[in-house]
Amino acid sequence: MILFQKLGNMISIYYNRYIVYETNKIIFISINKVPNPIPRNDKPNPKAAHALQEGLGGQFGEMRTMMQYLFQNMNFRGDAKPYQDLLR
Amino acid sequence: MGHIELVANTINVLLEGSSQQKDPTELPLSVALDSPNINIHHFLVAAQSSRPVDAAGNPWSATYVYDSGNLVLNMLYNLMLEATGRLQKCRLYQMSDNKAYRATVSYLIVRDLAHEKVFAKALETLGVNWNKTLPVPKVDTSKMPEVRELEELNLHNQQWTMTNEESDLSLIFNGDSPFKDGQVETLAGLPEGGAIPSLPDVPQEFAPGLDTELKSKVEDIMKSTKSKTRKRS
Repeated sequence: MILFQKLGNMISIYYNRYIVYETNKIIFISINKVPNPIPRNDKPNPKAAHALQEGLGGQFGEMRTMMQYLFQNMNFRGDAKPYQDLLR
Repeated sequence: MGHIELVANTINVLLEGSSQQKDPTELPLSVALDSPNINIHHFLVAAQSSRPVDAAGNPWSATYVYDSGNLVLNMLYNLMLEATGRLQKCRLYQMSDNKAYRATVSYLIVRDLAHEKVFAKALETLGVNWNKTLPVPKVDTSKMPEVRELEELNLHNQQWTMTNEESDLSLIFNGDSPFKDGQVETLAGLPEGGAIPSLPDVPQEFAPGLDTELKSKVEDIMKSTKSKTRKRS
């Protein structure tokens, strides 16, 4: 992930090669947890799993959200840094 | 990333146990053919686990990703995204009361509200006055107990900096909530979180598919002397 982010920064810097910015904030720390506990004491439910895929890979799902904010952060232009820190 | 892992792990927990190990001729994977509303790929392409697709089976696409480079427009896009996500989760909530499903969907309903507030706040700092337009959707969470519980922990008003370094997030995310439902706050670092569910072997899916010989090779690696990672000075 960190390589991916550095690659993104490199691409932005290439297009701005006459201007040098110090923007090397690392976005990802790797922690071995999920943000909220998942109870495991209920019955299996593959139909609910099917529905929940929308929240993962759907047009407005978590993958899109993560990618959208990642690219907005990597490609951030200008000095309004608080708005860049918003995008974590 | 954390939310991606949360949803993917929840999908895996929901699929866990949906097929039993049996002899192949006893059709342990017949559940995969219980259409509609079963995703056959969960059992055919993945080994009873999540995939980067939506609920219609469409693969995830980079065309979903919007970065215009224009700050105001990006903030609007992001607000729209969080609001749509929350709307969809409120709909998902009403589809099943499975505990794992509810825990994750409710958590995301509350967090998406917090994220709506972040971008609404950002736009307020840039001059917008929301009055009573937001949030989207307008939900009576007194009818959603799991959501209520998380709101009591103030989870709908909190953002973490997600870093050990300095963050200017708190310059924007402080003071009155843009939806007039309390005070918002920025916390340093990361939230507490929960354990990642570990998944057992599923022989009927041939996953992980290690026979005794391969297993013993894995065990050899795991028993080998201390990790040889070199520490950076």
